[in-house]
Amino acid sequence: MRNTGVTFIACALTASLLSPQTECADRSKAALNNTTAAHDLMQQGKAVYVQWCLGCHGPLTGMGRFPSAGTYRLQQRYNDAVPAMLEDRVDLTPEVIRTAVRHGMPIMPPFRKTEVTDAELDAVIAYLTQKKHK
Amino acid sequence: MKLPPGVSEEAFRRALQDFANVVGQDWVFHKDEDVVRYNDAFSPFVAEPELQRVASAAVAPTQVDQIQQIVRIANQYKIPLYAVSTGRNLGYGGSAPNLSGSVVVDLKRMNRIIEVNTREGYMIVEPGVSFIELQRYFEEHKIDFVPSAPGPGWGSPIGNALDRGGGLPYSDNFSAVKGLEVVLANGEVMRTGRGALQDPKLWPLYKYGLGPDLLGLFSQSNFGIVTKACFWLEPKSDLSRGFSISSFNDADLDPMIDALNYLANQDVINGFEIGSPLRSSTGSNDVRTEYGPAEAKELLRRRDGGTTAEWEALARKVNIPLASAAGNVRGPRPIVQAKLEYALEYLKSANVPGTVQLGMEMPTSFPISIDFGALTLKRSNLGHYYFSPILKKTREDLFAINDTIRNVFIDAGDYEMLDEVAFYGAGSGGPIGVTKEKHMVLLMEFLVFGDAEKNRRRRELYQRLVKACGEKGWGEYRAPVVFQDEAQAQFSFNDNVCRRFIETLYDAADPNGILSPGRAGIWPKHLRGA
Repeated sequence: MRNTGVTFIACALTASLLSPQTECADRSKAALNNTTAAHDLMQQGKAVYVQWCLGCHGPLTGMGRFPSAGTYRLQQRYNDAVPAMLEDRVDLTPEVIRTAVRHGMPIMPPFRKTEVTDAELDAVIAYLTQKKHK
Repeated sequence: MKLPPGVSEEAFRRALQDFANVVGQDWVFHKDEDVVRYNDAFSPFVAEPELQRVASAAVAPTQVDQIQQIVRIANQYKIPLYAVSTGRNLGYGGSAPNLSGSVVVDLKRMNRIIEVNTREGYMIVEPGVSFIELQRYFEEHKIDFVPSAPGPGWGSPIGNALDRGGGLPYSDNFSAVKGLEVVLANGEVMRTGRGALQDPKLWPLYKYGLGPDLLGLFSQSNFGIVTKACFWLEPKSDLSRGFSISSFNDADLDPMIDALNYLANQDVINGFEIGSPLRSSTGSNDVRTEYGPAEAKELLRRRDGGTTAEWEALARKVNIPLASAAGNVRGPRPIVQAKLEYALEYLKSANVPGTVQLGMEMPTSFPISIDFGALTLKRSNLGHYYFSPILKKTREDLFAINDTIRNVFIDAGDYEMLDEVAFYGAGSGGPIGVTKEKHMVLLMEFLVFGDAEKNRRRRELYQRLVKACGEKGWGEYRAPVVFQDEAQAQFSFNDNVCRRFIETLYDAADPNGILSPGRAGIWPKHLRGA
């Protein structure tokens, strides 16, 4: 392909949103790195969440003509007993998130491993389950 | 484990191993827990799993040569393949194959943006790229062009275009495609149009080769697996602004349509919608909207649909217009302002009846919505699918098709369905006309529920609609996988010569019938009439 200066070429979107974690022999550094790694994992989880989840689980007011579909449906289901926005929930467990993503919910289709890899799903779980406890 | 038809378990296991040798063990999915994710999440059979179209396995390549090898393996074992770009064609079948037991070729991992050329206004992408990924890429690189895209953006430009989906700014998204790279049933790679030249520099710019145009053979078809597509892009507009005209008289819709057709043909407006707001106000398939008056529903439940006098009296009583049309202009700000000024002046000088209202200025961006709020949300529905015939841009045709549909519902005694649908109107359940087209598309949602009996009744209703409308010239532009045979059967001129001609081509190009058998009602010889 030509690069004319106005041509954007060969962008692979295939790279996982996750990057390999570094290892460290030093214990104190390891502790620091563990914290950093956890932070990184949550950041990566947020990126995956924005990519795949936010479209339906955004603000109830919506980002377009309608309320966000997932947030709206959860509000209907729980009648505000729990926050309708997933990011505001503190009761989500890894199992619940994994099941919802891999098996879907009413009106929500499941997500395949070609879309959200197992590692990316772990990152989303970290983001949704740990951020409120920080 | 579901097996491909006519393939032994032993042969299938060998084929899966051969696929794994090509793409890696991790990217061949054969466990039930993985394969079930290739079902149609919005299937009309969602409450009857035993009747659903299901895959036997899935394989997810990243390279064209891997697809070539997959096709050759499929030929060796006579295994049907069903290719999906991102598998998000919800409402029309998702990622589920026409033929149960097919192996889904999941192209999501082929998600490279090969080239975006802003000087000449095109892009070349792979099938796994989604609209959302494209939007982010364009934003990151500050590219002031947009592709033609539908509303919700989780699908694939290639997948959507190949299914001839609609969107902005082209309306027929396939019309923006100027070149394809395809893996044929024999494993060869072919490029259409100028891509066949040794120097393919004009591939994205001019869609024809020499001789018959091959491009269209690969939309809604099973002649190959598309691995790249060249799309024309449109410059991003400064803004978009619309206007509407409405009245309490049915007959006013005629001069409104005439005026908007004139403005569209003069390239003054970029798109328009027409409808009967009072009639369509009763549609209740979206819990987030307010419904119209009960009297309107009663009139629609009558076989004659209510007299003009009754509707006009009701319109004035409840102060909801009976006829409306809306036009839209987008482009650079001074052009938008000048065009709107011209349009409003024209409406006045042509004595088009009705009240004109100018809409808000809307910033334009990527033409997709990143939120999926438009998903229909009746309280308990699990999904939906579409009945989507093509009709003329006239009041006569708009009313005739709606009357036909209503009477199919009345004949079936299905007043629940009749009450859900927004008749005679734009948007859900209504027609949408786009400037450069001479037709409109009617989009009617069928909701699916956990109630198998209700879903069965609705499937029957859908089939009746396909036939009743097809007989009157309103064939579908696109159909859900499970109804494609019925939809294709309407195109029956001269003893189905169109279908038979396509079958002749299919038999020659794919003698083993391995590529998406049943797609758009085209089956391989050994499965024909089964």
